[in-house]
Amino acid sequence: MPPFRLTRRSALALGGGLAAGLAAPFAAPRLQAQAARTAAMQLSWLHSVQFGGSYIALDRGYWAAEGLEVVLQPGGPNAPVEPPVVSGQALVGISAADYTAAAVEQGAPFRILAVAMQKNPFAIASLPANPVNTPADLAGKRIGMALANTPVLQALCSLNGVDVTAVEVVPTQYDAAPLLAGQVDCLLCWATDLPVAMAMQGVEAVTMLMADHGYAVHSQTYIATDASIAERRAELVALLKGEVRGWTDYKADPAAAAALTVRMFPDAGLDLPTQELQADRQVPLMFSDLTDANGFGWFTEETVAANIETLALLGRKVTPELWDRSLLEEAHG
Amino acid sequence: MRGALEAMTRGAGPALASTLGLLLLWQALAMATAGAWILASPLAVLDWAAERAGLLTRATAVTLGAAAQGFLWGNLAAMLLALVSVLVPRSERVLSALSLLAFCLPLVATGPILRVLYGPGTGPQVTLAALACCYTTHVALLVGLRAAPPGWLDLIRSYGRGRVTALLQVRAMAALPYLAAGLQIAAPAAILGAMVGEFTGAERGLGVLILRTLRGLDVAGTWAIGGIAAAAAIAAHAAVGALARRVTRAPPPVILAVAPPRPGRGPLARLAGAAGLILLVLALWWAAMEAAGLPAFFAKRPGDVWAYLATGPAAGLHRAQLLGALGQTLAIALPGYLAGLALGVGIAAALVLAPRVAGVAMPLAIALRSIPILATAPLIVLALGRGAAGGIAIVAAMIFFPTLVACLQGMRQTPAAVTDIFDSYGAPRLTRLIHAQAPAMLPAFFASARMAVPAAILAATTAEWLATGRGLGALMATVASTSDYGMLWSATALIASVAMLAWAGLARIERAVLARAAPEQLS
Amino acid sequence: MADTPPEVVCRDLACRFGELEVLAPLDLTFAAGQTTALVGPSGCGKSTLLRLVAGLETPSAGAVRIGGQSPSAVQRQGDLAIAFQEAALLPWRSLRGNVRLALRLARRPDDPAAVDRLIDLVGLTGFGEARPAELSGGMRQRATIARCLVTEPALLLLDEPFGAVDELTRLRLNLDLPRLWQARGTTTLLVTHSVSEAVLLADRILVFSDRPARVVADIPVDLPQPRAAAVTESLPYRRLVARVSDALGGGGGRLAAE
Repeated sequence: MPPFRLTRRSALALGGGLAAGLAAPFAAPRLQAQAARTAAMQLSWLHSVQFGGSYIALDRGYWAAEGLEVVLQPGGPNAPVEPPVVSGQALVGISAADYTAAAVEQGAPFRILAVAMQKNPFAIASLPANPVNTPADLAGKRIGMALANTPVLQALCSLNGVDVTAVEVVPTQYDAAPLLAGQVDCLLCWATDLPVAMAMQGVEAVTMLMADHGYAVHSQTYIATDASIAERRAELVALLKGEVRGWTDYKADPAAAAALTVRMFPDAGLDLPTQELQADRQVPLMFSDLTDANGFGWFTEETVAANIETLALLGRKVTPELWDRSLLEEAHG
Repeated sequence: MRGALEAMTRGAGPALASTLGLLLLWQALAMATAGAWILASPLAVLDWAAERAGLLTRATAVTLGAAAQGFLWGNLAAMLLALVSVLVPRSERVLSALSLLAFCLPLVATGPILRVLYGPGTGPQVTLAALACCYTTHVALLVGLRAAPPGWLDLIRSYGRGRVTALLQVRAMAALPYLAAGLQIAAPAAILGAMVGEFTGAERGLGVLILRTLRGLDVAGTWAIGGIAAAAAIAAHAAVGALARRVTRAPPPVILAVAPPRPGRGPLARLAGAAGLILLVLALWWAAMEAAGLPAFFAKRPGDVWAYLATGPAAGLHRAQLLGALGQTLAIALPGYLAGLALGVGIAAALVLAPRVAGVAMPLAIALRSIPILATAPLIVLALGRGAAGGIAIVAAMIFFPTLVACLQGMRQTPAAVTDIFDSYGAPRLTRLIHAQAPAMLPAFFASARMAVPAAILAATTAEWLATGRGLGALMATVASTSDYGMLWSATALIASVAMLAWAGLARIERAVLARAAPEQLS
Repeated sequence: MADTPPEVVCRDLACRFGELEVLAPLDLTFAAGQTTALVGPSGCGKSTLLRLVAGLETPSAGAVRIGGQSPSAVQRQGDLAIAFQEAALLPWRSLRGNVRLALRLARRPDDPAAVDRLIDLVGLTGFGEARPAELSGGMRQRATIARCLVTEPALLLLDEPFGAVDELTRLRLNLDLPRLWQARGTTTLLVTHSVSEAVLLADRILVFSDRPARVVADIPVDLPQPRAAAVTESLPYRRLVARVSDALGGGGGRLAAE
């Protein structure tokens, strides 16, 4: 164990007990403490090759070349992306159109600046013996998922004319074990994590990508507040420039991105084969004819319109103003 | 040093037996559940750990470092609170309430705030570990600081000395066994708190690794990390116990006292007191968030919650949603709470009746407490299903440990003279337990019952999140992902209120029972 | 006040715990420098009277004055000491530590020599480092007396100090220990069940009735001081024992036999 030192942080921890805020006056300056050319980016999950392009940008100095120092903050189950972005502690967050729409409904002044995952990674994973190849196959199946994702399942069903009541929802942790143990017939999960985990254990699951069945929700989107767009536009553009370069490199050599990820985060418990497989599997989600023509992160009025339609099925009313491509255009320009 | 060594060698026999027993049980369970992908065998776990010794060592150092800091701060805070409570008795009610409330705050609500306040680093982990310790140690200490025979205190008073001297000369020493029990309860809690704290976006640590293994279908990894957490908790528990035995060699005092009738407070005064407390809590809540400059988007103030539940649009809908979820949660929390208490008392009694079993059962109990519920919940679900039974079992599994430790410690407080009387009649252990040890245990039992109130509610919400998918736990998980912080803080406030009400109700029962069994606790 | 022993005056002193009347209004004066024994049936309120004088209980009516001062004022000067039926030694302190604690509580300078002298005087030579749990009942009571006397209090309150010891030890303590305080003329109040002990130690015996306590007899003890074992063989001693036992009302024989 490290020797104990009385630091400001540990002093805060003491106060944190009774009311995090009692100690907070000391911490408050942190919220505004971002130096002019330092920017934090709040990732949506733990470090992994999911954010490989960002690591390349950091490793190869693409941000340094722009005069920007970027701090990549990992997420976690209890580390939602929106709070640090709203508070200004992070300049940019990695979110998804549905989460962003929900936050905007609650009063967060967010815009989507770029879209890393053109295709939503949500998928239905099943075993070859009892496969779900099309949404129609869902009828009569037991699906394991977090109840919070019920609207997602409902949207998929209504997009494909499937009676959602014919699907039995079993609340599970985000874990492939119930499927392998036969507790459920299929899982609602990301195509790039649980199926990869099963593949690493020698089980090749059937993966039906929801994006292939009308579920159009931009994922791994870059969000920032209106205030940041107005006041720190140059930094945002610089950050996006680094991202574009990093992800362009990623596309050229996903395996290198996987290797870099494992090297960069030796304490994150990552193993190379898993990262390599995940790196491969997310390529078709991130890069398309659209990005080939216009560059990484691109979106158009048409893709936005498709998103607005699917979001409406999820109970989210949004307008095209939620998206702002101007910074990405500057970054590409 | 020599004493510690002796204690270690003396404990080596049972420890060895218990380790062996645990491993056997583990192996049997792993074999019985093969194919379910939820439990790996000890050998597979060892293999996994050996391959990643460096990684695991670094992660363990980080997590235990945060846990140790949190343990230190949390227990120091608890001691400070207890000291103030004894020196300024009027403050006890308020301080206990605040400490309870801090313990009640669900991670989904506090996690983002802590991370925004602290930024990257171990701040949230240390804070959550401290929070996990503070309340239970505080409660245990309050009991201990009162557990002195009145004669000792009269001695101090007869020299015209006041509370400070009584505290320094008598109460502090008399409280040591209770403090030791509190610290033993706190040790696994701190480790678990530090691990869960890593869920708020930490770079490294055992909590980060277990998230990785859970999603990666890495069952051996999950149990290797669970095993490390459990081993650390067992070691901490044993170390605190050995230290306590060295410090408190004196036999427990005979406590036989006449309760001074406490001037009863009228219902009006009680109402005023409660109102004052609520106002204070609301003011603290508001002031803390304002002082930290937290955006109202995710740090809702009392006014926001009021609007959300009472005056705003759809307030009626929000209320209905919240109360419906509360009903479902209580349906798990209440039976789970009672089952957990019964389990704790039952095991404590069994250990007293069959002391040899203690060597095996205690480490198992600590393991059950310190292995993250994320890892154990699937086992319980497999055995009992995702319905109420599974949820109740998860709650009971998460709360029985403080009861067990506190009750064992309480039974040890039976004056030797009293047990000697029973022995002199050759009374069976059961008779001795019922007539001597059980009454001696009552203050400690009630202390643990109080500790378990917020723990049961938190456990129920965790069970709902992990297994049943209903109630407040599922509601909070859902609204946290959709930025519905109005609902999240409403649920938080509701949980805190329910915990406070249950706590106050329990206090009344406790007073009524202790007035008969342990009057010194009421002075 | 420490120089001359104080007179203790109880004026209309009453005490009730809730509905329970423990002491009916009492008017009592204890002369300066005298040892007064309080005897009476169990639960009659003797101990409560002692605790009222010690300032450990608050009277529901009336007042106690010790040399014109309130008990709490005397407490703060460290001028009173009380010994309970239970030895009330702190189990984590050695015998010496317990005696020294009294000096500290009474705000007296630490005086290791005096502490050891008293430990010797009460016959516990060599046990200074022993813990209370390692001492016998009689030894613990002697330790209590040492603790009471080390501060040289002006007022000594003894509540059944020898109640927990066997008869032989008790007699020896009765003969040895009183000299330690009687030489200094300390005002002493002694609660006891034992009539013989009362007669042996006191200058005056107050016999109390059943609860609520009233004084049923006020008996001066005019045996010469200091008293040796031989005094118990004397006729005046036996007469006094008989008189006190009579005042206790029939039960005297049983009490005397204790």
